[in-house]
Amino acid sequence: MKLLTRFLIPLGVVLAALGAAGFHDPAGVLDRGEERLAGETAETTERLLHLLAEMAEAAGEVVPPRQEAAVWLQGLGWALREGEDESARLLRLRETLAGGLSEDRIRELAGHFDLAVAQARRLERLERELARIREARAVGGEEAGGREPGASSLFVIGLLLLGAGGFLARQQRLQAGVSVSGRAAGELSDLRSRLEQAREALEALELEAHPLEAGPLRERLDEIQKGPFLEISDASEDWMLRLGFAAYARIWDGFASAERLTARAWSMATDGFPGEAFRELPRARAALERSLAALAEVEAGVRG
Amino acid sequence: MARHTSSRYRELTPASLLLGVLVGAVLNMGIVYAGLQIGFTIVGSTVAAVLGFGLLRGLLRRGTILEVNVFQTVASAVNTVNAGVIFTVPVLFLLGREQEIHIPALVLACVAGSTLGVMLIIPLRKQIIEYERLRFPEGVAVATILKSPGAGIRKSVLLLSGVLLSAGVVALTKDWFGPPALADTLPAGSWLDLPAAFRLTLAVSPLSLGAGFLAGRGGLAVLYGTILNYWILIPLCIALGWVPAGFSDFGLASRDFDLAEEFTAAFSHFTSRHVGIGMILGGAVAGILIAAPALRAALASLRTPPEAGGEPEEVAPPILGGGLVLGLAMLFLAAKLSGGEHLGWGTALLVTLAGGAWLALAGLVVAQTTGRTDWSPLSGLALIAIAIMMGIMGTGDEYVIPAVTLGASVCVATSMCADMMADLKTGHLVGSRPYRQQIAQILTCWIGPGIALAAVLLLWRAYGFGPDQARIVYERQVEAGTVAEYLAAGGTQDRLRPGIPALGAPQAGALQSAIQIVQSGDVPLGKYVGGAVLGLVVSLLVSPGLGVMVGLSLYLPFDYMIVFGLGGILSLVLARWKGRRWSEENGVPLAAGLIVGDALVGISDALQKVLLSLG
Repeated sequence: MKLLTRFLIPLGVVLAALGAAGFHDPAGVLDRGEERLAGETAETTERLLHLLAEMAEAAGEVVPPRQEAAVWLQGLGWALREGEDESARLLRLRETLAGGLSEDRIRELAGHFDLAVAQARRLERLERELARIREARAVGGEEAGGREPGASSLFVIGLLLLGAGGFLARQQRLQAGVSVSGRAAGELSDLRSRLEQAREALEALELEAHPLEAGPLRERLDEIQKGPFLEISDASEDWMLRLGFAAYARIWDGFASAERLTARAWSMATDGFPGEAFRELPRARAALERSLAALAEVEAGVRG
Repeated sequence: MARHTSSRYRELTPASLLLGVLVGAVLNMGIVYAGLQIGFTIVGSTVAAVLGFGLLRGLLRRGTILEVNVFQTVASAVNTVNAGVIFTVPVLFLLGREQEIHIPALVLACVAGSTLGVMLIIPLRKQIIEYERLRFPEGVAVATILKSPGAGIRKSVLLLSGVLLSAGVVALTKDWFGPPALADTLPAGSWLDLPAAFRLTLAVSPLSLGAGFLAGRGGLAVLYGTILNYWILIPLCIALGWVPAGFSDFGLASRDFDLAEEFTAAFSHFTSRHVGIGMILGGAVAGILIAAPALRAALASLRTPPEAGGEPEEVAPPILGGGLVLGLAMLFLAAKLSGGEHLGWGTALLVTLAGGAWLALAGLVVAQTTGRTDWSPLSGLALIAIAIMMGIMGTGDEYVIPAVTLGASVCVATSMCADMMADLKTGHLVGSRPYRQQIAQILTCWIGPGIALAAVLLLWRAYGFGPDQARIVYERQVEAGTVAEYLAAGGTQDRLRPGIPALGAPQAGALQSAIQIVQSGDVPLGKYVGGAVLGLVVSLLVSPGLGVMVGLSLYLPFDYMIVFGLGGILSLVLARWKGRRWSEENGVPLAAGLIVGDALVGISDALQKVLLSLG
C-alpha cells in the first residue's frame, strides 16, 4: 500500500502539471504567435544584414542581398566547416582577406561570421514556422487557441490521483498514530527530557559560584547550543506534523525565545561582556520553563 | 579577551544606523546599475555584513556582533528595494511615457511599498522563523560571518576557504582582464551528447551550491520540481507537440543545443513560469490555511506585555497598525496622483485596497520562498500586480502609468519583506532583540526607494537603457546636433559608442511585453489557475511547503536550480554519513563562505562597471 501511495502522488503531480501546461490562453494564441514570430523575423533579418554589411565592407565587396547571403559567405570562403578549430578559421580568413587587416579586426570578423551563420539559420526556421502558422489560420485554426487536446482530462485525472494518494497517506499516518499511542507519549517524554536538560544546563551556569570569564562562558554556551538546543531544533518539523500546529506553537514559543536569548548571551560573551551575558541566562531559563509548562498541558491533553 | 564591566553592550547605536544608511546607499546605486545591465539584482546582506565588520569592528574598534547585525540590517534595508524599482519603473521609459511619469507619485508609491512591506512582515516573524524555522540560507551565511570571532579557528578557516574558493571560481567567469577564463554555465548535456530536449547545463554558481547546502531537505523539493519541469514536463510537451509557436520542428532526439536554449526560454516564457507562479500562490494560500493556528498564536504573542521595566520583544501592534494606515494612505495618494483625471477617487481607493491585499499575499509568498531557497519570484508577482491593477482600472494606455506605479510599490514591498525576514533570521541566530532590528528597519526603510529611483533617472538621462538603447542614444545625438561627432567616435543607430555602458534592462523589457499582453486581453489565466489548484492540493494533501518549492522550480532557470538541488543532496548525505553535528560544524561555514565569496565578486563586478563608466 505504501508503494502505491508513493507512486500515486508523483504520477498525479506530473499529470496535473502537464494538464495545466496545456491550458492555453483563452484567445489569440495564433495571433500572438504570428506577431511574435513576425517581430523576431524582422529583428533577425536586420541583424543579419548589419553583419553582412560589416563583413562586406572589410572584404571590399558590395553588400549582397539577404537571399544570397549564404552563397556569398561560401564564395568568400568564410564558411565554417564541421570540427574546424578557431586557428584554422582565422588562417583561412587571413588568406581570404590577403592581409591588410589587423589580427584584432580579423578576430572580430570571425565572431561576426559565427553570429551571421546563427542568424541565417534562425531566420530560415522562423520563416518556416511563420508560414506554418499562417497556413493554420487560413484553414480555420482560430479556435485552436483554447487548450491543447486532452489537457483538461489530464489535469482532472492528475488531481484525482493526487487526492487518492494524499488520502491513503493520511490513512497510513492515522493508523500508525493509533497503533503506537504508547510510543507517542514516550516521544513527548523525550522532548520533555531534552527541554529539561537545556534548562538544567542554563541553571548550572547561572549558579556558578564564581562567574566565568568571557571565554569559558562562551564555550559552555556553545556546548548547550550544539547539544540539547540543536537536537530539539532538528526535530522541529517532525514535531510540527505530530503535534499539530496549535500545540506545537505553544511549546515552541518558549523554546525559540530561549534559543535566541542563549545565542544573545553567546554573542555578548564573545564580545567580552560576560556580565551582560549572565543577565540573559535567567531570561532564557524562564522561556524554557514556559515551554515545559506548555508541554505539560499538551501531555495532559494526550492522557486525557 | 578583553572583559568589559561597566560599559553597556552596544546594539542599536547611531553609528550602526548612520554607517548602515551610507553603505546601503552606495550598494543601492551600484546594484541598480548592475541590475539594469544583467537583469537581476544581488542581495547585499552578506556584503554589508563583511563591510560592517571592517567599519565597526576594524576601523572604529568598538563594534559588537549585535551592532554589526543592526548595521547590516539597515544597509540591506536601504539597498534591497532597488530590485523592486528596477524590475518595474524602467518599463515606463521603454514605453516612451517619460514625460507623463509623475515622479512624486512614484516616490510616494515606493516609500509606501517599503513601509507596508515592513509593517506586514513583522507580525509573521514568529510564525516563519520560530515556528516554521525556515532556513533562509543567506541569513545563515550572514550569521556565520557575524559569529566568526567566537567560532574558533577551524570554523574561521572553513569560512575563509569557502570565500576564497567561491570568489576565485566566480572571478574566472568575469571579463575583468580580457575574455572570461571560464564560462558561467557548463553544458554537461552537450559534453555527454544527451538529447538537447533533456537539459543538463550547470551554472558556475557557488552561491547556489552553498544555499542548497544550507537549505538541506528543502533542496530535495527543489530538485524534484526541477526534474519534473525539465526532464518530465518539457519532454512530454515536446512529444505531444504542445510547444510554443516557432518550435514545432524541435524533437526529442534533436542535438541542436542552440535551438534547445531558445526553446527553453520560450517554454518558460509561455508556459512554465505561469504554471509555476500559480503553484507558488496556491501553495502559499495552503500554507496560510495549514498554519492558521500557529499564525494566531504568533499574532497573539505581539500583544504580550514586556517584563516589568523591560523592552518588548516585538514592535507593538498600535505602531504596526499606524504604519499600515500611513502606508495605505501614501499608496492611495500615489494612485490618485499618477492616474490624474483618468482615475476617480473611488477607483483609486479600490486599487489601493486591492494593491494592499495583493501586497500582503505577495509578501508572505516571498518570505516563504526566500526562507526555503533564497530566491523569490519578485518580477512575476509584480507582473500579476500590474495585471490586477489594469483589470480594475481598465487596459487603456491612460492606466499604464498608475498600474506600473502601484506595481512598483508591490515589488518594493515584496523585496523588503524578503530582506527583512532574512535579517530577522540572522538576528535570531546571533541573539539580537527583534524589537531593535525592527525599529532600525522602520526608521530607515523609506530611504532606499528615493536613491534607487534617482539612480534610474540619472542612468536614463545619461545613457538611456533598454533593448533599443543604441537607437535611443543615437536619436538624442541627432536632436542635440552632435551626431557627426557620435558617428566619428564609433557609435551608430545599432551600436553604442565605445564608453557608453550597455544597459539592456531585460526585466523591464519582459514587463513591457507582459503589459502589451494584458492590454490585448490575452492573460494566460488558465495556466495560473491550473497551477494554483495544483499547488493548493499538493500542499494540503502531501506536504506543506511542497507546492511553493515545486512552483519555484518551475519558475526559475534549470542551471541554478539543479546546482541548488545538488547542494541539498550533499547536505543530507554528509549529515547521514558524518552526523548532523559534524555537518553543522564543518559544512555550514564552508557553504556560508561560498555564498559570501560569490556575492563579493558580484558586488565588485558591479562597482567596477560603475567606475569604468564614470571614467
